[in-house]
Amino acid sequence: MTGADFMLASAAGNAALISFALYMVVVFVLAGLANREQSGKSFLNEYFLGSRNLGMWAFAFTYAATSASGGSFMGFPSLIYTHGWVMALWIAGYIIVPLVAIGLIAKRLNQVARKSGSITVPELLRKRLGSDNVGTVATVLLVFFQFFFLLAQFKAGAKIMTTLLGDVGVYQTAVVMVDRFTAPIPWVGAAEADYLLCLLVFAASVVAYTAWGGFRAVVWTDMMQGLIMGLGVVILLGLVLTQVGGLSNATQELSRQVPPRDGNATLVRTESASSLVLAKGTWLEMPAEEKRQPFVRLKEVVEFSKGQTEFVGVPVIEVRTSVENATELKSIRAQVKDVGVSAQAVDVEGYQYGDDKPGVYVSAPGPKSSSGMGFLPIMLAVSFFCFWPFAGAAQPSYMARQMAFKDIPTLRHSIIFVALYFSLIYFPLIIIFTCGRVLLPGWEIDADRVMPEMATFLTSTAGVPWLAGLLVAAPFAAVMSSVDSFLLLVSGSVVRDVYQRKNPKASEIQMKKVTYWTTVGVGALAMFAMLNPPQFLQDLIVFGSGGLGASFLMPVILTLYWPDLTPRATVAGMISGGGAMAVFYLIGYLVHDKFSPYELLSLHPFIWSVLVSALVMLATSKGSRPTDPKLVEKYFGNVVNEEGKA
Amino acid sequence: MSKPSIRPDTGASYRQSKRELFVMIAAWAVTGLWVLGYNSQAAYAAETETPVRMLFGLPRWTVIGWLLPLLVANAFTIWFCLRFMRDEPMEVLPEDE
Repeated sequence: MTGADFMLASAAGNAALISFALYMVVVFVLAGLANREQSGKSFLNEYFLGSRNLGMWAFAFTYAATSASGGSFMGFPSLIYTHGWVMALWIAGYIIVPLVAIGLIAKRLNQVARKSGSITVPELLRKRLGSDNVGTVATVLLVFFQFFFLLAQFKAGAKIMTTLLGDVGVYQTAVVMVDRFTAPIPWVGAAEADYLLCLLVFAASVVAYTAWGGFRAVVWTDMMQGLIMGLGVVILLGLVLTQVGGLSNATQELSRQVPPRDGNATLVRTESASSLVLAKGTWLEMPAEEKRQPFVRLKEVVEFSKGQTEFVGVPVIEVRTSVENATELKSIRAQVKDVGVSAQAVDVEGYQYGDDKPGVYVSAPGPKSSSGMGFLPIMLAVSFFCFWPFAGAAQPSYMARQMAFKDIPTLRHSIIFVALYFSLIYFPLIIIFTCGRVLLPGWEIDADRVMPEMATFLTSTAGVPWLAGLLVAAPFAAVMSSVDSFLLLVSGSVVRDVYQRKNPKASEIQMKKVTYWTTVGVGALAMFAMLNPPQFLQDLIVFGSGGLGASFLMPVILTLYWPDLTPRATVAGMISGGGAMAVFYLIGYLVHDKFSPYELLSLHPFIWSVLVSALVMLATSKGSRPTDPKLVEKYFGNVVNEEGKA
Repeated sequence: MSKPSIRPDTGASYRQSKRELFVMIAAWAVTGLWVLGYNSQAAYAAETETPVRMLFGLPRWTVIGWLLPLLVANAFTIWFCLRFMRDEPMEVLPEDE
């Protein structure tokens, strides 16, 4: 790093730290104000649902911010960067998500929740069907699948912080201390020290403000976070389009790109009088080919000791840039440093789909390293078009919000707002990170970090490093707004559906204590589980949301819209849906030797799981004990006579 | 959009919600036919196009098969929420157990 680079990085780091610190101060002020609101109100109703009086802005922002999670700002950009424009087709279901995912059940859910006085989804199902078994099974499935979702957000939060604080002196000192302290500890010591420190800070802060302020704090911080996300995307879009030389240029360069190759190389240096450390991400230029200029990029840190001239088996990727791609070449060459090291005996392997195939980043099915079918075969595109709106409708974290809006005009206006908000978030994100392939090539070495890296790069290049703090706060806000909601949801289920059922006479003070400690416990457990996380965030997110969708979609829809639904059918539907999802992932693990779904006939397991759930419910309803007619009349009115049934 | 009745009518409210549900599912199906139907041809054929066919600086299939349906879906959503979805009176919240 040159002196100028160091100055720039330090300025960006300090500015980011200040912006980030300010952001956290505001979050805690809002939590404190929310805590004051709790006085004089029913603790559980206020803590978990904000006393059911969310207005339009609060409901719309909290819904949008919770939905736009770490997946939207970390996992999604990583996938766009890795697979290109095919991600527009992957996310195409979002075109109709606001209408379907909110509209499908929100009105009925809110009404039934009010009639039954329910605070959580398992409680609503239990009261509507008059069955404790329904509530118990719902609680178990909700906590299980929601926990996977929570894990992914913790990883995302920590990853963002490592990038944000990377150049700050105090932070680097703290990382060294953490490394010394944790290195000898089994499991904990295996985690990278910077990631570990950030995970700890992230978990502590989000758990603290959630436990302190409850649902109202979550909603208020969601509003702020939603604003930051929207603003962040708009600024990023402007910066990226300016720096990439316009959209046409970016699309043309992208169409000439081919996927990188992955493998090992031998590094040789000409001078060995001193030791030499090559950072992860170091670029080395290779001899030119006729139409392509190859580069090698290090995937790990390499340390030459004094007198050592050769390093064998260094993990690298090989990026073969088209000689016509002026912007991309300029970007890479600006990062190539003359360190007296060359890459030899480069042994790399191409993607199974897309290797040496220009056009693969601007078309479907998109490149994929591990499958000859490409990233998104058409049947999988169909699956995702079903997945996003319907799995979205069945997320208990969204349902909690749908139980909290104050009236129907609030709902109607919120759907419109969320539709416009999502349009302004998701389409620009695809543009930003496809352009990112041109401006910042070679980030396949750590694709999950591409969002914060882009923010830092774009603001530094534009001479406004202080903006990095705001931009990186956008994904951080997305992660936080999801984590706080999930924490609240899980603790709500445990407190309301487990503890209070066992201890119906527990005092308000006891309930408060149990609520706070449950929130802290769930957060601590998620943090511990994420010390050594899997690579792709999106796999965890899709499993978590898919599992929740498969478990709750048909049971909740039929609970709200089918008077003849029986308790046994509901239990069977939840277990068969969630179970089918888990089985498909288990088969996927056995077949692919990694955490990924088994896609029967190229359809996502969510589709099969929902079908299984629906069929099982229909079959089980016949012959099982019907729901108490008084409950049917309470929630459906005099539907038997009015619909002309016997 | 009709005005809500003075007292909540659970049965009428349920039937109206069911009507809205069917319209939403129909809207989803039509959007799916457009996006997946068009892109099953255009997006998967774009790989062999040299140079890439563009519209407004974007790959052409993303504009016709993504951006345009997005705009139409948003227009429909606005109509649905302002004209078709009915207001209903909200139940008085019972005391928590």
